[in-house]
Amino acid sequence: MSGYSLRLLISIIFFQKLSYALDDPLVKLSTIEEAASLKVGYGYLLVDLDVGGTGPSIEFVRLKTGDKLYLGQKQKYAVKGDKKLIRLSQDKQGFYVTQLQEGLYQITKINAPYFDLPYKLSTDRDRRWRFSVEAGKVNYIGKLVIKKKRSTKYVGVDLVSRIATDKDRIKSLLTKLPEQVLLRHGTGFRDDFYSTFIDENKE
Amino acid sequence: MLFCIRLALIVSLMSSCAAYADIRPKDFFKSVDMTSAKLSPDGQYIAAIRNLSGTQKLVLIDTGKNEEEILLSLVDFTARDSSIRAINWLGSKHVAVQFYEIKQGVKHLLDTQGSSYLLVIRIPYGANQQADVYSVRTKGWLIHSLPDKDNLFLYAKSGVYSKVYQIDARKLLKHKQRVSKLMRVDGGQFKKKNEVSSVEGFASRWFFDSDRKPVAVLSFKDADTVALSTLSEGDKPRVIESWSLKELSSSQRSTPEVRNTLIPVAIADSENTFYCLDFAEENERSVYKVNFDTGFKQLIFEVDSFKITDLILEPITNRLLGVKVLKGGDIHYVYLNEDEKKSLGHKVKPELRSVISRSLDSKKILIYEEKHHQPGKFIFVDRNSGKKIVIGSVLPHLNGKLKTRLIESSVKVGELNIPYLLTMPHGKSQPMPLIVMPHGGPISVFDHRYFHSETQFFAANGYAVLRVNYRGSSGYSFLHKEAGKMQWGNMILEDIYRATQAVANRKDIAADKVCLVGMSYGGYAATMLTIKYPELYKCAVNIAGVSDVALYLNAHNMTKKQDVWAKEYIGDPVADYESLKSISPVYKIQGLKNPIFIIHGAKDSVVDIEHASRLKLMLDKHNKSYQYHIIEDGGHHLGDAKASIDLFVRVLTFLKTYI
Repeated sequence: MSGYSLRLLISIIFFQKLSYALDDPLVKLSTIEEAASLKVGYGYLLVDLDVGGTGPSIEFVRLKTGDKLYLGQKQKYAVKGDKKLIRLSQDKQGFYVTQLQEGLYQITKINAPYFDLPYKLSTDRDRRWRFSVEAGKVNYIGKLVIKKKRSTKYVGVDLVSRIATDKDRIKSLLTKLPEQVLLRHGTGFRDDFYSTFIDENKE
Repeated sequence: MLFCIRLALIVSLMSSCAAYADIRPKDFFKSVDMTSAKLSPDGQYIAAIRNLSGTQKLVLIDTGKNEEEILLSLVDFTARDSSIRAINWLGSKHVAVQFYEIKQGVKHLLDTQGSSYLLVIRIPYGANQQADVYSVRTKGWLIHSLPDKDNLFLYAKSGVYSKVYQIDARKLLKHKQRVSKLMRVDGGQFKKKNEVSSVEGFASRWFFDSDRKPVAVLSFKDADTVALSTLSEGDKPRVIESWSLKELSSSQRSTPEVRNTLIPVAIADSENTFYCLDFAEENERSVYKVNFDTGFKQLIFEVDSFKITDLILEPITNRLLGVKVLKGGDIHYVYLNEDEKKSLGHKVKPELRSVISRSLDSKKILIYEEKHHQPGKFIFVDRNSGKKIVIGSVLPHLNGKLKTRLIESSVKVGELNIPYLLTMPHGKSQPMPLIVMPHGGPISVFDHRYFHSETQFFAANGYAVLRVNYRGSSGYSFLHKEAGKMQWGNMILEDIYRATQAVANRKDIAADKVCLVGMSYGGYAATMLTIKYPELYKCAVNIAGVSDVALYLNAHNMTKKQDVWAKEYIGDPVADYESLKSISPVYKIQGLKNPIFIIHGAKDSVVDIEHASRLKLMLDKHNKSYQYHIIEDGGHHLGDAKASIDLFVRVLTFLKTYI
């Protein structure tokens, strides 16, 4: 390899790493109507929120998976890049979007302070708390619920898939995005239902 | 003469038809009435919990005059959501009531909290006298009622040092009475001179011998360690067993050894033995007797499907009478069958009979009796006079109305004998249509031979009902239960199919009129079996059923320990995804040939509504015949009487259309 090519290669790698380092750790959610156009290599993350308490937030990281969007049985768990944070302001309800680079993500912690309860749930490495983003698509990851349980000192936290239950609602919302892109079920583990349903619809 | 014979025959025929008449859901499903009863130590009164006019009431029954009066009516006592969790006699003059109340907080300032406290009700001295209600304000709980000591009881307070106090009910303050400067909270009784025992660490259970002396305690030695210690007067507590909470909760240790970890909850009726509950969450339905010194261990009771929350013990002998279970968010009482304990392998009658309470001299007793076609009754017996009266019933509107026959048999599937229960209606023309009701679970749950509401309802409407204790069911042997491992969509379904075939071959069963009705796993089985065997199963009702097994295994409501257990007993949603997909109804819908009715609660937190939604999308996609009903406020259980009526009207209409 010539010296010029080598310098060019090193520069490309350096700036890629720099772009990760300069990636804002704070990820902002917006309503569907306020969503920006997709950047290259990015996909929309679509989440249905039902949260309460005083300023809950979720922390997540991107995982190294090669070209897959979920970890196989023998695949090693490895983190790529820095932690990111989504702040969920009080009493957020409804569908929200943001843009993320294509990849598999792990929600590592949920902070759900409720009055005098400094509630934190560690979800690190738990496959059920992963989601995936495919570039150029709307990746629905489920309904995130953070609610105090009635008459107890516990907070209920859940990320439940409702792709079938809310399909029509989701589809009608997507028409409000700045560009029309395909809907995808963005779970972080294998779930063939939606792709099977779509494929069967095509037949 | 011939005319008389003909007339007699006609009358007899009409009688047998009249004896068999469909019972409508609204006449069948009503709220339970009496749920619990206790005889006073002197045998003069019975305190009982009844549900009347939609509210819980504590009633007092005079056993001599057979008269009843209301001691406490919740709706008059408090405006808040509340319930009575337990009752105990304190001598023969006071009834202690464990009372639970929800306090609605002010939004964003005070959160909603439940509070539990002990009410002590003094029995009125004379007729038309109001009962006085006192309460214990110090946080703790009643641990021994001291039945032979009027007015006294033992109360535990837990903290850095946990203590047991002897309290006099007569010195308590009235409930909600303001404490003036001249008064002391709880009569100032929580002090050293009333201390009976103390131990370092937070105590969660105290254990007493027949002399009411504390002989053991279960307490936290530190944040992670729980220890069972024996107590001897003058000596320091001796630890005989301890458990690490971290180890027990660790998902990596969900092995058979951990799953069989037994935690003591009461002292048993033999020396140095304890009644223990199985620690495994999926197994908290079994009661064992354990001697931690010798290692002796014996399974003595399994409840059919719901989690045990506490034991019901006879106050003096500590004999196990039954258990309290959590069912649909409420506490229900399940009593041991004394006859079953004595049967030792002989055929057991489908009748449950248990002495649940007795006077100190045992001359007066209270019996709980239940039969497969007769809901529970509470019967007072005076052995002196021979008097025997029914003082209350669980479902009084059904007393004596249900006429069914129960047949217990089994079918051999491979090496296993698969037991089943067949309930046959009385007085119905044959052959009868058959409903197959696979139970939920499927592991560690079983169908019992006593009163089962839904079975009796269907039988009362002319259907034979088959319930199969397929492999994986509890209530039989450990091997039978373990045989259900990894058989969710395989041999468990085969067991149900083979039992159905055996029953459908009977002359009194219409083999072309067989339908499945199931809930939870039963709903899953109903759907899968109708897909697999359309020539036998003409329709299916799927209530709160799993439709995508991997989706169920990836649910967030499973703890890490449950997740590890599920991988071992059902399958790994990562490694076994393809095989789990092959046993999921949502991917098999193309093969469905017969109608199906899907019912699901929108607030089901065990099997999410997504399961029903996925099934519906696929049914629409493949143009299949189905009915669909979502219960907006419904959870994973049938709900109250009103919800049951609505559900069964729909189910019955569906069944009558197809079988």
